[in-house]
Amino acid sequence: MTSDPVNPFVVDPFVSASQALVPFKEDHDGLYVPVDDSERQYLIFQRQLGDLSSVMTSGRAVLATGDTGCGKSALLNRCANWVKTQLAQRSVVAKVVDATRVHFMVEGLALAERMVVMCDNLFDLMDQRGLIRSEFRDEFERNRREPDRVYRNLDRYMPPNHVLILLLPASGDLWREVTRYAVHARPRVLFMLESDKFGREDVDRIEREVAKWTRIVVLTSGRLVEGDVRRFVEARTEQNASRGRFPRLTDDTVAAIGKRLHTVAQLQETLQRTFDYLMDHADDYGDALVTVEHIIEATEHVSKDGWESR
Amino acid sequence: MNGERDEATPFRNPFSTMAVSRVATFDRDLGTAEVTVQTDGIRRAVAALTGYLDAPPTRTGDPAPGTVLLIVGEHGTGKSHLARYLVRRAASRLEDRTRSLYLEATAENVLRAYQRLLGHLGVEQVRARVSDFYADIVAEQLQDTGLAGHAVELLRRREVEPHEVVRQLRLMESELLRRVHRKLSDVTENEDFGLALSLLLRPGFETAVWGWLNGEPPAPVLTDRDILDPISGDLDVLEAMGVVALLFGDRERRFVLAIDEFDKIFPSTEDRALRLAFQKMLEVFSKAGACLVLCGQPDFVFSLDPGTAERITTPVRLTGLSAAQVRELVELAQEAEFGSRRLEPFSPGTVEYVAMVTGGNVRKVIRMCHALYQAAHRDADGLVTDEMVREVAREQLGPLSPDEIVLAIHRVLEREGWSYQPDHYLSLGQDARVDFWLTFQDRSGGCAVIVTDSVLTEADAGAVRRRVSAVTGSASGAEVVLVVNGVVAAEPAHDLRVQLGRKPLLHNSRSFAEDLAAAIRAAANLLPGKPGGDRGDAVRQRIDQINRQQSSLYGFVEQLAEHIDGLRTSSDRRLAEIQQQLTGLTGTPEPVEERATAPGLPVAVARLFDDVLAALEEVAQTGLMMRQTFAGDDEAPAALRAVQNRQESAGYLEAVGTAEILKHALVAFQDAVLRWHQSDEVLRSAGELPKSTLDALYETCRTYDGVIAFLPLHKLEPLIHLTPWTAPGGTVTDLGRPARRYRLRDLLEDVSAQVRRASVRVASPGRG
Repeated sequence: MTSDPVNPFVVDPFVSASQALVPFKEDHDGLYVPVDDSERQYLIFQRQLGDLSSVMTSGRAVLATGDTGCGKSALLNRCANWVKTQLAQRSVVAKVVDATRVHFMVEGLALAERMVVMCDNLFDLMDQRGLIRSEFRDEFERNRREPDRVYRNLDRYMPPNHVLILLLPASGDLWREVTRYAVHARPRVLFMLESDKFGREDVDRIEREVAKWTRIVVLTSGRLVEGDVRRFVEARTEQNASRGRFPRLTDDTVAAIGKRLHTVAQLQETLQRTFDYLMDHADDYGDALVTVEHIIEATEHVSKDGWESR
Repeated sequence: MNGERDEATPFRNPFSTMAVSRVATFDRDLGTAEVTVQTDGIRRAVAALTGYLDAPPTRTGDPAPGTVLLIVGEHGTGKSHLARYLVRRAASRLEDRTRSLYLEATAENVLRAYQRLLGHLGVEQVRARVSDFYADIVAEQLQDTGLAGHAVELLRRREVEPHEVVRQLRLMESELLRRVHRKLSDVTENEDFGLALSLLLRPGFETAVWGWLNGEPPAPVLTDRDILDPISGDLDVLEAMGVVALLFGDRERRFVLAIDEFDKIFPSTEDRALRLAFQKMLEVFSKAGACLVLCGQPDFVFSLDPGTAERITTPVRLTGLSAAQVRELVELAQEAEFGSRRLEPFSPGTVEYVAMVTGGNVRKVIRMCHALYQAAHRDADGLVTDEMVREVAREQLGPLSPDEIVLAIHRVLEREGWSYQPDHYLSLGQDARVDFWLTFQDRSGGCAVIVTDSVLTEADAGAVRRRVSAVTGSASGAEVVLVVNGVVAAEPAHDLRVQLGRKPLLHNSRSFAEDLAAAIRAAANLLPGKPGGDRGDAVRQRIDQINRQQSSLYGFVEQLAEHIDGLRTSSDRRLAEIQQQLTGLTGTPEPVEERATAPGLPVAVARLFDDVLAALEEVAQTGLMMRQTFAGDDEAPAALRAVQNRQESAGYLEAVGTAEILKHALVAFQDAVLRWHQSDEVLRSAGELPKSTLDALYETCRTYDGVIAFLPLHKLEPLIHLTPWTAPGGTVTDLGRPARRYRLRDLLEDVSAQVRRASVRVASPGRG
């Protein structure tokens, strides 16, 4: 065992504590911890898509709902990775195109305009990933601001034996956007959508609206439930035990956190922040036990550091 | 005049608008002056506001009940001044200008008033209020976690943006925003408002939401979210005004909104739905713990149904100043100017007289005192006399010439299609002459309309009584309608009412035409029926009346056609003028007197000078007239003839000379104010201006007042009487003499006071 201090809650490669796990890109597959009911949702997804023939023959759409920080993106990324792996076993090339950042371009736009901007970006994203057949490249480029035409022809534009898994920007409160994409799905296309603003009635409306053409897969990420914090802490402790030394959380601390935090993102952020803080401030990092006071101290520290001067 | 007339000391009139505004009166700005001459109405209104502001929050945390204050009073009784004063007072107590607003609803509809309310608040303030809700909700959730006490404090003190805290601590943003949405929907009791307002917390929605709140059709980003209807009808707007009150008056906050001249935009009470919506709005203001101040004419009270009246918590009626209050005003004004309290050159008698002829109307009292003080200054004895009061009352309160008033009555009689004889003698003798004699086919006798000047003295009243007696003596059973071109003092008014059986009609009332028609109709009904009158006669009479009305309508159409022809001619003339000016741009510069705003003058101050110079130019138009005379085009000979006619008309040259001096005085005043703004003292000042700097500005303004004091502004009247040179091209309302007269008078009346206030406000930010 090395004596170097480590933060067991930092996910490599570290970009930001807010970033979701991306198993189709990084070695994150083993980092998923069954919290938030995510494991069950993952299984529902697998069951509903089955042998993926519906993706190959008619295209599908998946919608993840749940409040901010409940792990929707991480769940969708995991699902995308599963599809990619399954298809690879059948020598089908599935590529995940991440268009979630288009969110910043479409926030505040009307639905029609959002669809256009997304479609316009899609051309570049697919082009960069080699997902456009050269003979249709000009046609696609000409139509890049005409979503209806592009999505109608998407399977024709793609090379044979390829599948597009498209992670779309969050739909916010626009349930009609989800129905539009679901109806636009074509063979070899899997649309993955998420929203932190839909309630049950929105989901019902979406399912009703698209029922005539397709069946949308709806996944729900929930809040932390009893036992989630312990599972999460134990998993990370175990995964990082060999990497270096770090303090452990007492049972009381784990129980107290469970009462105060609601989402996995908050949990991830709070623990990473606390261990960072202890690495910087505690003389006995590695030997001490982490208490609720440490967590409060670290949070207050951020609060004072970040906003005092405003 | 009590030893004050020292040749070396320039004359100062303590009743110039600027001087008086320091002690008591109609401050156009948000009241820098304290109301020192307080009537009972003012005291009650101030007490109601103070009670509202001092009310502690309820134990349940709900806002303390709001209040609805209704201020009614005739034109010039100080409603606007009082409303502004209340708003100003509330603003200083609440230490937040957005929580105390004054709106003038002049000649607008409810939507426009609501839009102006939003304009006063601004999108930033509305967003800030929504953000307050968000901050409270975030703080509440953080409080529950017990993790970030410091952040909770910062949120409660509004020292950190809630979304920053949410982002940094990875709080459940979606749930928090949902709670804001729910809260706003609950508060506003309207799902669309709740959603639209909560969208202000998200980037990219501001323009759409603000546009919709301002009455525009919902933008696609809103229709996507099922906000489908614009805020357009009176019902929607009244509800939206309530939403504003709820948004700004929530919790322990106090919010004061004064809507002046509300009667002008008040929706018709005929409409039950609107009536209920108005009642609901009043209720919402109360529920929100807000204070709504509505101002209107006294008639407004009668248009309110009992349900609405019940919701008015404090009705206040402003009446005129009593003689004692006028006396106090006179003394205070002189104390402010000369340092000691005194009544001279007025006497208790003349003050009482002024109070009587003005009905205590504050605006009229000050205008009259100003003229009287000046008249006394010119007089050898240096004292205000009864005769001076009569003279000034005639000048100031009887603004139309006899010809004009006769014409106005003609128009009413024509419009109604009545049969009448103008300038009719019922028997021999001057007293038996009536201005109009109306007869009605199914009635015996007739109705006389008598026009008289102001009835101020016993002698005036005696003359009128003689004329009335002569009429009733000559034509048995005749009814008399008396039209007064000016004012009637209280006592003669009572006597005449008894003698006539109806009130004399004042021509300066707003609804003169309607009042006259109603009075004649009522008089006709009192005439005895004609014996043997049959139904056929009645039908014939009605047909005759309709024919006359139709003929009157044709006359109007002809006038309109003439006006349109005039427009066409004028357009041609204007086009030629514009072309000439465009040519001039490349050649000789404009003459100096045509210059516009002095560069460097703050916009708010420059606008005041621009407005008054423009109004002066509007009545004189000498420059334009001369340019057209020398244009050398086809129109030039006609223009020359028109110029000659003008120069020959009575009083014209004197009026133009007066206007010219006035213009030079204004331009010099403007230059002096510009120098003040550019002085080191003003430029270097970071906050409150030093007293010496304020005094310097004050002296400049007083100098202007001193110059104007000796200018006979009433001699501008011939210019008002002339048809404006550009009239055919102007709008129809521009043609009205009263409109031109009032506009000029309004602008000239207190220009120095306004300039001073605007200058001080601009030069010392933060003074409000």
